[in-house]
Amino acid sequence: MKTLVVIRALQIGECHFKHGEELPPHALPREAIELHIERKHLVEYDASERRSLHRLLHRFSDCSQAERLSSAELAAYALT
Amino acid sequence: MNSNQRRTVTHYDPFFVAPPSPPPLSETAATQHGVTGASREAIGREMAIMRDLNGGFAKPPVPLPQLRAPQLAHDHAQRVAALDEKICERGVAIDRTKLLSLGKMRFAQLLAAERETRSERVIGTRCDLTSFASVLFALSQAGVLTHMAVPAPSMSEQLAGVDAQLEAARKIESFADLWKLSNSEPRAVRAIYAFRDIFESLVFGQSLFTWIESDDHVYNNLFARGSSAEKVRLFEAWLSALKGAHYRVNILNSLQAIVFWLAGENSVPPEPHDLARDCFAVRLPSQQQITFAAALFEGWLLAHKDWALWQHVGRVTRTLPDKALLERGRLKLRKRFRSIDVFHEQLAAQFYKRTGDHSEFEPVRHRTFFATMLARLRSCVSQIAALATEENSPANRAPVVARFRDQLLCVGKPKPQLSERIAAALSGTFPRSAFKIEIE
Repeated sequence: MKTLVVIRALQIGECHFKHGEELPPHALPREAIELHIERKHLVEYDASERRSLHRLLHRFSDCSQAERLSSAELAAYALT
Repeated sequence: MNSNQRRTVTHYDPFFVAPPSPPPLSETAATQHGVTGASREAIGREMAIMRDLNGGFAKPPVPLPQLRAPQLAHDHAQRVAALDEKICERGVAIDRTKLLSLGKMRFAQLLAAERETRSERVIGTRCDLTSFASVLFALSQAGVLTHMAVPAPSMSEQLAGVDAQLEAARKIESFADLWKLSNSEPRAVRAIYAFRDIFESLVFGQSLFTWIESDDHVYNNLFARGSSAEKVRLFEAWLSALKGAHYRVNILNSLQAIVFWLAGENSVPPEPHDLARDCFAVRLPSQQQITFAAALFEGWLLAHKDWALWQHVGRVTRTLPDKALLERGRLKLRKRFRSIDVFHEQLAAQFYKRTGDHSEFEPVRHRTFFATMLARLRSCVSQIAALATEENSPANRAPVVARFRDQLLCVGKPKPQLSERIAAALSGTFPRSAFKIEIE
């Protein structure tokens, strides 16, 4: 899984994104993402490098994709 | 002598009966027998050498000191077990919609906190704020680790064997230790903590959401058995998502009252506000000063000193404590509460181990014993408070739905004078103690 990160100020619809912010998955179609990556507006990081907050907390972010928290995190902060 | 003379030989019966000779062994069995015997002998010799090297014969284990014990009813354990089972069966009613809307609001706050954190110079786009390794790497790239607040041990200290407390104080192993870097990047550390608090809370909230059953209740062991984990703090942030009327019974000074009771200190544990006034010599202390003074008092009650006290206060306040101020504050507390100081000294004296011609203090054994004892007594306080709350409620109501170490969560409305009744029950169990109960 990839995490999309904005590396320049970007406006998508009514949302403004600053440098370093994560772009929610499915905020843009794949073609638009490719275009922004080519124009150096966006950068893609592997989930092993930077995890997506939207996918980690998918219940509250309304993200259709989910990413599992580590077992250490679940043991420390979640109901088990 | 005549050659024809006849020689006679007389045989006498022996005095003792000869033992029966063992049955003859076969060659293989005889070899096996010999090897086993030799091996057993060698093992015995080896064990004797090891025993001598380890200080002679095995010493009997040193008995642990006996502290004051609470006056519990003979069936206390059974009653508590039954209550805990009931609490687990009752569950906590959660409003799914409220939880979801609260979670969404917090998620927006999380994104705002992330934006704030990423505005810091040291946090790059590649840095994963949910991962400690990634955050520490980002900070180390900025050279933060070269300006640690805790001094590195000198050559003479290293030769003499570094102090274990100093070594522990220098360690940065998790987000809980990140405050040790706040002398170089205080704003970044504060921003990371703000982000982490919301993130951890959301992780708990998400798990709470998945645990809601079809009857809108969450059944989990966390809500019983006097849980004291960090998760209780995380749960508190979601109390507004509870379904129906609830109230909380807070035991405000559980640790203080127990240590005062153990030490036989007759005065009432001081309020954090008064401690801060005394510690900083001001009439109106700030919230930070109150938190600092409360953490210092708690650390001192837990018998922390030197770097261990520094670490305890730093973890609570998430700032670098002034070591001189800590030492001054500790000395003031020692003078003010002399009986507690004597109690700490007498308890520590029980943990000296005779080694050759001198005795050595065993800090790990001392810390483990004291922490276990305090945890047991605090759990006992929670049990008594829960039983008293149940007993002082109408027969058809089952108020306690969660029993944590220092608080109870109950459904409905509290009965008048409930806090006084709980305090009376605690006084019966811990005679002349001064617990402070608050209903909210």
